[in-house]
Amino acid sequence: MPYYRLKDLIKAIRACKTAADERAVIQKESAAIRTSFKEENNDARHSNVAKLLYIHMLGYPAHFGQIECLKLVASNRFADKRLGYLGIMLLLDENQEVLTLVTNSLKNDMNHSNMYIVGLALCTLGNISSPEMARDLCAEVEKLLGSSNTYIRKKAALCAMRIIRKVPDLQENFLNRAKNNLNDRNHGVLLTAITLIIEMCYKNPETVQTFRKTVPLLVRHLKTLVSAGFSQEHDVTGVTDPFLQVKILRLLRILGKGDAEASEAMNDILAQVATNTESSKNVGNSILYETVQTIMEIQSESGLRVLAINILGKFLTNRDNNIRYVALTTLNKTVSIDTNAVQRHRNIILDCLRDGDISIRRRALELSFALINESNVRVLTRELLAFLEVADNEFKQGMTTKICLAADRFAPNKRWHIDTVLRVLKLAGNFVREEILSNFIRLVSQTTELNAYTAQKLYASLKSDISQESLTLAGVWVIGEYGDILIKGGNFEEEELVKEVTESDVIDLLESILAGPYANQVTREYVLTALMKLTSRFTSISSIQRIQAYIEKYNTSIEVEVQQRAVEYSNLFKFESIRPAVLERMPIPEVKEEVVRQTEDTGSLLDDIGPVTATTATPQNAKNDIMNLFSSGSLLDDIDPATATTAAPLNAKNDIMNLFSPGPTTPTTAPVAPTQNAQQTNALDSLGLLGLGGAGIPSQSSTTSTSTSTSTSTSTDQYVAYNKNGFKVSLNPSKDPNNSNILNIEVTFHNVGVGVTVQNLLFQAAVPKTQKLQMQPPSSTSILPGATAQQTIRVANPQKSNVRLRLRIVYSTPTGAKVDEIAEFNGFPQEIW
Amino acid sequence: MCNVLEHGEHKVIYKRYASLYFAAGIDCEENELYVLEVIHRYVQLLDEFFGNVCELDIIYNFDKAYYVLDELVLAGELQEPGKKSVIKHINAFENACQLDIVTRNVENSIV
Repeated sequence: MPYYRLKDLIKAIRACKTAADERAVIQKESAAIRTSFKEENNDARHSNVAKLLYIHMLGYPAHFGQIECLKLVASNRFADKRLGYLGIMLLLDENQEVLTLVTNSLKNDMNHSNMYIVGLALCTLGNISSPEMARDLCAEVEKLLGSSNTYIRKKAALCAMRIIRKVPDLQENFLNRAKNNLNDRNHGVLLTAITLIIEMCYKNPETVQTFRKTVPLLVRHLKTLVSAGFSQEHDVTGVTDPFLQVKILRLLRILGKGDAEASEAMNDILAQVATNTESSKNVGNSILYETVQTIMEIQSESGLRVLAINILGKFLTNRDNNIRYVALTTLNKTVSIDTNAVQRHRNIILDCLRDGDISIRRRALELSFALINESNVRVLTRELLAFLEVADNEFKQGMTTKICLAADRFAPNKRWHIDTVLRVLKLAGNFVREEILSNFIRLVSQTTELNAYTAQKLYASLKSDISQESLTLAGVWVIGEYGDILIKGGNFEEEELVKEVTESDVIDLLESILAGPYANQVTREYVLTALMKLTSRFTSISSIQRIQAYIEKYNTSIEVEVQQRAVEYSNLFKFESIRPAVLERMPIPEVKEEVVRQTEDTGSLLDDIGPVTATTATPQNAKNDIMNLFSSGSLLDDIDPATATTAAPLNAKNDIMNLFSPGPTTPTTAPVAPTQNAQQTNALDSLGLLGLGGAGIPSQSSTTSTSTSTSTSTSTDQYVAYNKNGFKVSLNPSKDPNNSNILNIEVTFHNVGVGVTVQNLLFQAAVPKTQKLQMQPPSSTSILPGATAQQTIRVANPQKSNVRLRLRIVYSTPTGAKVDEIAEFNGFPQEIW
Repeated sequence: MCNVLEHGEHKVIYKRYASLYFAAGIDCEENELYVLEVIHRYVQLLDEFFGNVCELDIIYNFDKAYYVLDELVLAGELQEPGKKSVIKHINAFENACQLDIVTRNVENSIV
């Protein structure tokens, strides 16, 4: 038996003691409602939909009520319409097709005589409209935005805002009305008009220009609010209409950004608001927060900035957690602009690291990283390491990367650097990224004077703990490489790290790692290699025999990589003469070239996260070469690793690639998408030698290669690289939108005047040593007379050197002619790369 | 405890009133303290509308709670900063609905 009234249903559901009970009641009632819907009972529909909405709120399915809501909306009764629209807003969203059925009702109701019904329609449209509905009803909303009724004007403004969000193109329709509403005296209309304008400015930066003229008007409004006496209607605990104040401040922020004149006009009022607003309650603080943000983003005078920083400082010491959170967030944004001011508050920020609230801890962490510089790196790193010990796992990976980066950038000396990274590995070894590990290994190899120290420290930490994977990998590598230094033992200044390490101790440790529960395939590979290296570092025969026996155990390992290594190493024992040479000390890897991303805040530490992944080529080289040194090629060849650089195998490959063969190479990846503004040139340098600079490069202005803009980087500029015998090759360069180091070149082959079909087209290109080339297959290797073909090539240019191309064009014609030509092209303007 | 919870690209601002939590989801650009004020304004309106609102009021009249919310916030933005104005309109609509029902009943009974 169904419950007839909403109240009874709710009572019944609340009376249920168990979840199963509740489910049963709701199922029964749902069934009853469904039956009632089928019976098309108009009077009960209201009650049924209300019950259905309650059931929906509890999380049970209610989709069968959607059409009923539509029917309610179509009814004439006010109460029905109200509930119907509520149901539509709760049960439907813009992705459902049923929503389009509402459009007609909305249109009718927007023309209703009763303003509340109009309000209902505007509310529904504003909350859940889809782009199609937005387009359909735009005209209606426009009309209502100009209505004489303030209630309707308010809602129409916000509805227009939603329309613009969904369909940015419809902005122009609302511009004038929005501007007019700015003159309104009603706070509600003013508030919604400003909100609408803010949205317009976000969606379309050109609108900002149009509205800059309204800055004096806005300043006047704000002034009235701030200096007005007590106003009954709008007062909120002593502040007049804080909501409107905040919105005006936000709009001023958008209008003043980047424009000196507008910022000038707002200086006074901002100062007034900042000094006069009471900061004891949340209301005042919200206004101050918005003011500070505005001051920091516009071109304010220095006195104003100082005022803003002071307010932030006061916020930081406030006992209210929200205020501190907000201060930390804002300081994060300003630290790149004004680091010194933020440094003053360093201690408070470090205290916040230990705050009870996780949001505050997170913000303080980000801020701490941004604050690190040469002078405070030791102190800050110590604090951060202490925090790493107790941090949640979600923080750990980011933290390890950032701490190691900071250590990289600001290390006062090598020993401190190694110590810090070691500590990180010990504390959070399982959350350390591969690049960090490779960097560490490179660092250790480069710091030859500390090899003994590092080896000893790693040995000691491994003896106590083999559960951290990165620590194990690093330790195993170092022990393998410098095992002989480790055995020699000896004192090391300031540390009582004198351990008499014997060869068998070391082998024991490595064996325990292999046999331990934490070893995975990578660890096993590392340990096998390390053991093998030790056979040439250790001198006692028994150790060597022990190692040999141990390695042979893995000749039958299931993991292919491990088995391969074990078998090859075991084989190596047969070649006593060359074994020591093969296992000699590895050469020191080159210094990693630091690719600094081009952004406005070059001092920020957070940018370096990018380049760590960007130089995947070089760090990976170090690691891969450790792995690959013995698995590539045959061990029987007389390779002398002393002369073969670690990057030798890969370099050899690359050099071959760079000469006339369209093989793929791996482009580096880095964030930032600059655009370019190449001008038309006509550089024909087809037969000259690869000359440097000068010839053919026009001196153009407007280089936007360092700006970050979101427009796609396409250009229609064509550079003719080769034009002979009626066959033309033109190049169309464009910067890759995802990667500023990569230049995409669209090569177009034109069969202009060959007279016959061009067949078997082969196009090859070579670039200078510092760049890499990748070629896609051409669209076609046959070109009919008058037709064209395309081919895309990509040039990776991390060093931003002159992009020069040596081209080879080969084709044949049906008449038997064969063409094989070489051309040079050097005519790209500087902006392109 | 801080009233802000971060979740990916969004934040949840919540405020506790007796045994109820009022939570609002915002994106990273929004002023958190402003949202706290909006939440407080909503609770004040509920209090005014129901007269000393308690949890049961909201449970048994959830649709009315929605109507109040719809008068305060539209498309995620505040519509009307004045408290009295909002209350006035809500009550007026409520009365209009009642009047409408009554007139229809009268019409039906006449017919």
